[in-house]
Amino acid sequence: MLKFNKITKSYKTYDGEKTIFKDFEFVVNATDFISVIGTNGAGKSTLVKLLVGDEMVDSGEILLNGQSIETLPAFIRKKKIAKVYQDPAKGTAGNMTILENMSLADHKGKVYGLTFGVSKKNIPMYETLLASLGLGLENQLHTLVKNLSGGQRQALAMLMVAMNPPELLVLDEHTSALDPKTAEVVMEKTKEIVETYQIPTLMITHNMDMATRYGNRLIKLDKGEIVMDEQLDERDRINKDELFA
Amino acid sequence: MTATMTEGLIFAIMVLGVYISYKILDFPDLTVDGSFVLGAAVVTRGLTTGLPLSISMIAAFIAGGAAGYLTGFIHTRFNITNLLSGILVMIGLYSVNLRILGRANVNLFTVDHLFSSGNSVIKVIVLIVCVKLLLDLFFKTRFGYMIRLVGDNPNLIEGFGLNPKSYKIYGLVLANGLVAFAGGILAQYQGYADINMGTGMLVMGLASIILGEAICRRGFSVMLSTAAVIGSVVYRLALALTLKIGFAPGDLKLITALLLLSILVMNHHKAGVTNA
Repeated sequence: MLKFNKITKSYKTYDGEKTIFKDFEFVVNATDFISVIGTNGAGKSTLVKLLVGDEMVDSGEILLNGQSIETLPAFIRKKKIAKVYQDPAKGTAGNMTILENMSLADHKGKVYGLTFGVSKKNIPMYETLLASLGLGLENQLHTLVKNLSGGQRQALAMLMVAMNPPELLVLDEHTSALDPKTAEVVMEKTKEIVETYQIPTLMITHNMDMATRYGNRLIKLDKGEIVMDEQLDERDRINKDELFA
Repeated sequence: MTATMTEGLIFAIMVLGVYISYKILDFPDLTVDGSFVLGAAVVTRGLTTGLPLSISMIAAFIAGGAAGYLTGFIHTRFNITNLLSGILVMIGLYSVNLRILGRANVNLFTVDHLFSSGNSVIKVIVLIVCVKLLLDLFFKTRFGYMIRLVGDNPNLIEGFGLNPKSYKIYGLVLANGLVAFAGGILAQYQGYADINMGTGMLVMGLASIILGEAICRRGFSVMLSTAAVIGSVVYRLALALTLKIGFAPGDLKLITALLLLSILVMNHHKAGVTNA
């Protein structure tokens, strides 16, 4: 369970102080797959940054499974929280091969010492995983990842996250830069991971269709406040036009 | 010609250090101008005070590594830009090097060292092949992968729950250790250490790497580390040639700068060279 407790965050600008969140409260339950929507500037991205430690809160508390994490540096939080970015380049290493990327991700949580980075005995397992994406990546193990398409990279990034299921999954518009077909592949993979490992998930999106189709709870942020919080079992009652108003 | 080649191969060790910081870490590290002399100074001081060669060389590597650590620490801890951090350490090292050497120029004519006897060329070739192979091997290990990620995608290191800053520092330690090691070798090869022998090292390293890349992308695919070694030798040969056709030694830095500029201008497309 994730809990935001009286979070306050403001930025100093030339025009004075701009408050993004004031005493913000929010709880993510263990079974939640939350879609977060809201206009630009509503605080969606800031929320995610505060959560993973890319930015620090001014005051308040963030509790992940009972442990307060708001003062921990990003890399320590990311042992437990996986974030998938909008930019597919951020989740994979471009100058390494698919095989090397998979091997690295497979090793998360262990010591990265002076043993060879790729263990050959795991290759069949990687191939099976890659084949499950249906993008033909299993035949390109030795291709540099920078030569893949954005969608392929993002699908690979999701797969790499899945190799070590996190305690919390944060998706920051992770399909918005992809073409509809690959976006669908990536979303299906996301859903599979979330359901298989029962990971509480926070998904920021501008895509209303995906928000309602995949999430089971819908949050709308506006000016740093939650203006709507719906369980999506009642999705039929939600009027999409109203959400975008 | 042989002497130039040998020198080129010794400098290639330094170039491999620059290759780590510039190419792998994406960190233009000016520390090398100081750590190169540091290595030479430590070896010279070690040998003249009677320490065994192996200990002196290891000490040079460690001293260089410490310099790299300092640059990395200043950069990551105080958020000072990579260029400035390197410059600060480089300038500071000038005094340190002078302290270690005792005076501006110390010769090794009266002590036994690596090149006192035997075939220098073969020794240097063995050395550079070992260093290059070890380095290539290192960058295939998990730890090496992490260092490659520093320049490739530090975000991913964080994603694995590790601190990218630490790996940046480890990379700088390795890079400057190698550079200092090369400085120590060169001091023995030329028979003296000089307080100014490091001036322009980074630029020379960059020139060699870029030259190597430019040569190697025409036609055949090689590892970047190989390209760096080739670049270093070709670069020394080119410099020797310019001296031969009548330029003064003092002109070499200007020629290097112009050479680097012209390659950079021509070098718009990269192909055929794979990283690490």
